[in-house]
Amino acid sequence: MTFVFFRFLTKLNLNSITCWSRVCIRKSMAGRSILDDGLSVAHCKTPDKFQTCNLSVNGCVKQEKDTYRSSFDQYVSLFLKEICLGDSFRPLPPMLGNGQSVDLLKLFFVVTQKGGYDTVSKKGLWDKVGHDHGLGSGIGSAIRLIYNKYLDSLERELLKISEDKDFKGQLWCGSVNVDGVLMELEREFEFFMLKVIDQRKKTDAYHHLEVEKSELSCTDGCEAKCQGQNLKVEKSEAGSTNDVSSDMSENQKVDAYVIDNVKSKVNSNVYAKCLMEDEEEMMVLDSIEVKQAVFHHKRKKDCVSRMLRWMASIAKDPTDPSIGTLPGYPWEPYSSNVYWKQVLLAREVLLLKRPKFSSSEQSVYLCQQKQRMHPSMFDDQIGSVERLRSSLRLHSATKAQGSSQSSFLGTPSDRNAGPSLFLKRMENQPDQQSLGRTDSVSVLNSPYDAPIRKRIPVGQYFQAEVLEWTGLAAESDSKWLGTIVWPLEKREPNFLIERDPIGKCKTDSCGCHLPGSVECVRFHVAEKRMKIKLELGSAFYSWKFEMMGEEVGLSWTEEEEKKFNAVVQANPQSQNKCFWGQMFKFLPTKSREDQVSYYFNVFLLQRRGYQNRYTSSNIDSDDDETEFALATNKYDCGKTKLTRSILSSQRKKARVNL
Amino acid sequence: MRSKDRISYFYDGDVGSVYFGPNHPMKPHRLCMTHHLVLSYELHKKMEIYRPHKAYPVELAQFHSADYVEFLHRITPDTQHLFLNDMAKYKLGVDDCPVFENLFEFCQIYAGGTIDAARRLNNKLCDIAINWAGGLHHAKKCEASGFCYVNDLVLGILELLKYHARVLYIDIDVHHGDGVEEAFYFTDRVMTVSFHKYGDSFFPGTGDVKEIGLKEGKYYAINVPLKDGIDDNSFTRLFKTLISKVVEIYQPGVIVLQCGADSLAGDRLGCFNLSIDGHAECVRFVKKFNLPLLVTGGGGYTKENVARCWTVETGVLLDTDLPNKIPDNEYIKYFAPDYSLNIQNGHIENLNSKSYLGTIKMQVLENLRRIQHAPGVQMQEVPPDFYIPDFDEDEENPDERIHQRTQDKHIQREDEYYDGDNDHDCNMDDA
Repeated sequence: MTFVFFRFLTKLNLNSITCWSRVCIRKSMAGRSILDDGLSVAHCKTPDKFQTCNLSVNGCVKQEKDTYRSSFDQYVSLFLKEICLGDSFRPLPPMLGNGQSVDLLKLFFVVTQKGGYDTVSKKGLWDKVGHDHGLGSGIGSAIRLIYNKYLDSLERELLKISEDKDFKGQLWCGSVNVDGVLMELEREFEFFMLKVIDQRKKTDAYHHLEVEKSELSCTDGCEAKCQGQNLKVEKSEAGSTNDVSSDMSENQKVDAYVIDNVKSKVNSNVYAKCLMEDEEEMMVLDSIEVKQAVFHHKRKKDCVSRMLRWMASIAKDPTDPSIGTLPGYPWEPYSSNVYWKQVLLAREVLLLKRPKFSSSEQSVYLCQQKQRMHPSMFDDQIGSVERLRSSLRLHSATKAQGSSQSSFLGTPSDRNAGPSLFLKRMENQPDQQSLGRTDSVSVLNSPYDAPIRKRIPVGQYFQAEVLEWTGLAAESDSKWLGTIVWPLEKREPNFLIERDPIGKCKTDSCGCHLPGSVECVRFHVAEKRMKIKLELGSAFYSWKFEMMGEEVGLSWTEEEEKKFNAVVQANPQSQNKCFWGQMFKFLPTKSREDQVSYYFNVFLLQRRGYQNRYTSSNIDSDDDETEFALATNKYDCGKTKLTRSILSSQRKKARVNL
Repeated sequence: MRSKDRISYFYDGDVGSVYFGPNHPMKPHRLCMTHHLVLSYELHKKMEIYRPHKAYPVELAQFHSADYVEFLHRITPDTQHLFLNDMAKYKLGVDDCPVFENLFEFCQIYAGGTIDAARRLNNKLCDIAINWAGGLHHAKKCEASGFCYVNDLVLGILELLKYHARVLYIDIDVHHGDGVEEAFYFTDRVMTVSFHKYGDSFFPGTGDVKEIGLKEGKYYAINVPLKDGIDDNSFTRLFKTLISKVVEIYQPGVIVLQCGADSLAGDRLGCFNLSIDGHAECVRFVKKFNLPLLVTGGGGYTKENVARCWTVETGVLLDTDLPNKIPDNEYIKYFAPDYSLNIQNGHIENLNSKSYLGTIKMQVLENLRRIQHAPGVQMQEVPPDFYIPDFDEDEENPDERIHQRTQDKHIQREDEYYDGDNDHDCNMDDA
C-alpha cells in the first residue's frame, strides 16, 4: 500500500502534491492507514507493525524494487521541488563520497524505524543506519547529511500533518482541509449507518460491540482505531492475515462482516426486484463488501432500504430540494441522537463543499480530448481526489476477493496512463474474477464517486452586488473613457494622404525580380510597414508597432540570436523541456520581455517562414535560415512533421503561394 | 463609406509583451496579431481606436473582493513562494493561472478596456464598443480560474447596469461562462446566455441546461450545453432561434457579446467545428438588433485563427466585407500557407443529434416561457431603455420641484424677514 501511495504521488502534478499527500494522510488517519505500513513516524510505534512493514518492503521490493525506489525518488524530488521550493538542485540518486549511491527509500525506512531523524541524531545511531542500509560502517555523517538534505523535510512534513489533528471546522482554509473533513464525515456517516442497522436489529451484542468500537476509534483517533481494527481483523478474518498491506480492505471487510451478519440473521423478506436499486444505494456506504453481501444474500429490511435510498439520492445530489427530509417513521427515536446531527452535518458539508471540491481539481487543460501539446504534459493532473478514493477502494475490493496482491501493485508503464488507469489494468488481468471486474467498474461509477453535476456556488463570496433598478440612471461617469489614439487628433506632418483602396492586398504581379522569394516578401512587408508608419504617425508608437514583427530582431546581435536559437534547439518542446529557464542563464543581458518579444516576433516568424518555404520544392538558401540547417534533415520533402513546432499547425501540406 | 454605427475599439500595445509562461496556451500575443491584421485591412479608418485606462484596484473591487484584488496587486513570481496559502485560496499558481511578471498590469488593461467600453456606451458616445483583450469570463469574485484573473465582463456589465435596466449577456466561447453566470445568478437585471461544450468533465464543469438561476434570477440564466463537433448550421440555427426569442422576451437595453474564438474548428483547447463564417454569423445576428453592443474577446488558443476570426468580426461590426486574401503585414508568415481568412474545416464528429439539440431548445424555450407568463413585475416596473431619458426627467423634475418649493419657502421666509427688515429699514428710514 505504501508503494501504491508513492506511485500515486509520483503521478501527481507538482502543485497538488501537498494537497494530495494531506488527503491521503487524512484518509489514513480517519481510518486505517497507509502510513502504518511505514511512512508515518507518529504512528509506527508498535514493533509488530514494523515487522509487517519490513515484510512488505522486503517481500515486494525483491520483485519490483527498482520500480518503487524510482517512484520514491521521483516523489522525493517532486516533494523537494514543491515543498522546499526548489531552492537548490538535488541530483538523484544521491551519492556518497565514495561513489556509492544511496537508496532513499530504504534509508527512509531505516531511519523511520529507529525513531526518526531527531532520535537517531540524539542517540548517535547514524553509523548504525549506514550499516543497516548496507553501505558499510563509518559513514554515519555522510548518511546523516544525505538524510538531512533529501528526507528530513519530508519527515517533518509528515509529522506536522499527523500532529495537526484539529482540522475540523476550518472550512475556509482551502480545499485541503475540506477534503479532510469530507473524508472524515463520510467515515462517520458510514459508522452511523452501521450503528443504526445494529440498533434496529438489536440481535447481536457482539456486533454492537464491534460497531461501538469502530465509533470509538473513529472519534478518538487513530491509535485506538488501529488497535480495534487489528482486533477485528484477527477475529473476522482467519484466512487473510497475510493481506498485510490492504488495510483499506480490512476495514471494509469488517464493515461488511458486521452488516453481512446482521443481514443474514435478520428474518426479512427478499426484495429481489429491488436488487439493483439496493446495490446502488449500498455503494454509498463506501463498502464494496457490503454490496457483495447484498448480492449474495439478497435480503434486506424495508426501512434500511428506504433509508439507503434516501441517502443515495442525497449523495447524488445534496442540494436537490425535491428529495426532502429523511424518512421520518423509523428514525424518530433517534432525533435526539448525536448521529442524527452528524447526518445533517454531513449533508451540509456535502452541500457546501462538493462543488468546490471538484472545481479545485479541474483545469482547462484537463479536459482536452485532442490536446496538441505534448501529451504527457498534463497527465499528472488527471487523477482527482475522487479517483484516488475510488481507486483505493478498488484496490481493496479486489484484494479482498482474494486476488493476488502483487498483481495489483502496478508496473512502471502504468504511470503515464490516463484516468482509466485502473479500469485498464483490470482488463489486463484475464485471471481476474468476473465478479471483481464488474464490481470495480461499478465502483468507479458509483453515485458517490461519479462527478456530480457541478453547481453554481451561491453566497456573498460568489455573487456580484447588483443594486435594484431605480429607473434612474446613475451619475454620469464621464471620466476614464479611454484615450483616443485613432483617428489622430491633429494632422501630423508626414501624414500619408493617398492610400490604397481598402482591403487592397498584395497583387500577384509585383515588380520584384523573383516574385515569392524571401527578398520579395521582405520587401513587401517593409513597404507595408513604412506605409503604415507614415499613415499612423504617433499611433504607430502608441500601439508599440515598432516592437512588432521581425524588426524586433534588429536590436539583437547575431551572437545573441545564435544563442537563442541554440538554446531552443537544445530543448525541443516535444521532449517537454522548457528552454526559458536556460535562456535567462545564457542571455542575461536581455530582459524577459525582450526575449518573449523576440520569440514571438522573430523566432517563431522565421521558423514559420522557413516551414512555409521549406515544404515547397525549391529550397531557398537564404542566410537567415541557416540556423535551421540541422532541422532540415529531419523533415521529408513535401511533408511536414513539425513535431517541434509549438505553432500547432494543422496543415498537412504547406504550400507557398507568394 | 462609413458605417452608420459609431464604433469604439480598444487596444493597448502593452498586452503584446504579456507572457503567461512556457507552454501556456493563453498567448496575449494573439491580440497584437489581431490588431495588426485589423490595421492591415485598414479597418481602423472606419472606427475610433482608444487606449483604455488601466483600471484602478478600486474599480476591480466593484466586483472582486478587496483582499483578492490586493493580493493580485502584490503577488509577483519572485514572491509567490511566500504566499502559498493565499495562492491556494485564490487558486493562483496552478497551471491554469500562473503568476507572471506583469500580471496585474495585464488585468488592469483588459478590465479597463471593458469598463471604458461600457462607459462609452453609457454615455452614448458610440453604438458598438469592441475590446478583444477582454472577455475573461471564468474569473470568480474571490478566485482566479481558467486563465482568468479579473472578470472584466462582470465589471463591464455592472457599469452598464448603472444606465440600463436589463443587460443581456451572450457567450459563444466553447467553455461555459461560469464566472459571469455566477456573479449574476440572483438577479433578473442580467440575463446570461451561454453556448458551450458540456460533459466529459470539460472545463469548467458547470453549465447544465437545468441551471437556470435562483431567487429573482430564476430563469434568467440560460445554458445551452452542446456536445463535441457542432457545426455551423446547427449552431447558428440554434443561436438565432434562442437569441431572437430571448431578446423578444427580455427586451434588454444593451447586449454584451463574448466572442471566445476557441469554439472555432481546430482550436488547441476547443472541440467544436465552427468556421469563422459561422462564428461571425452570430455576431452579425446580434448586431442586427441595433441595440448598444459591447463585444469582447475571450478564449482562443490557435493564434492565427483568433486573429482571423476577430478581424472578420470587426469587419462584420463595421459592415465591411473583407477580401479573403490577407494583405501584407508583419505577421503574414503566420497565415501561411494560403494567406486567406478561411480556416480548415474541423474533423471532429458531430455528436449533437437533431433530437438532442431539439430537446435542449425546447427546454430553454420552456424556461423562457415562464418569464413571459410570470407576472411581469420587473417588466412593468422598468420601462424599456429608450424611454429612459423621459423617465429621467420625470424623476428628476419632482425632486427639483420639491427642491424649488423648499427654496421658495425659504426665500419667502427670507423675503418676509427681508420684508420685515425692509419694513424696519423703511421704518428706520421713515424715522
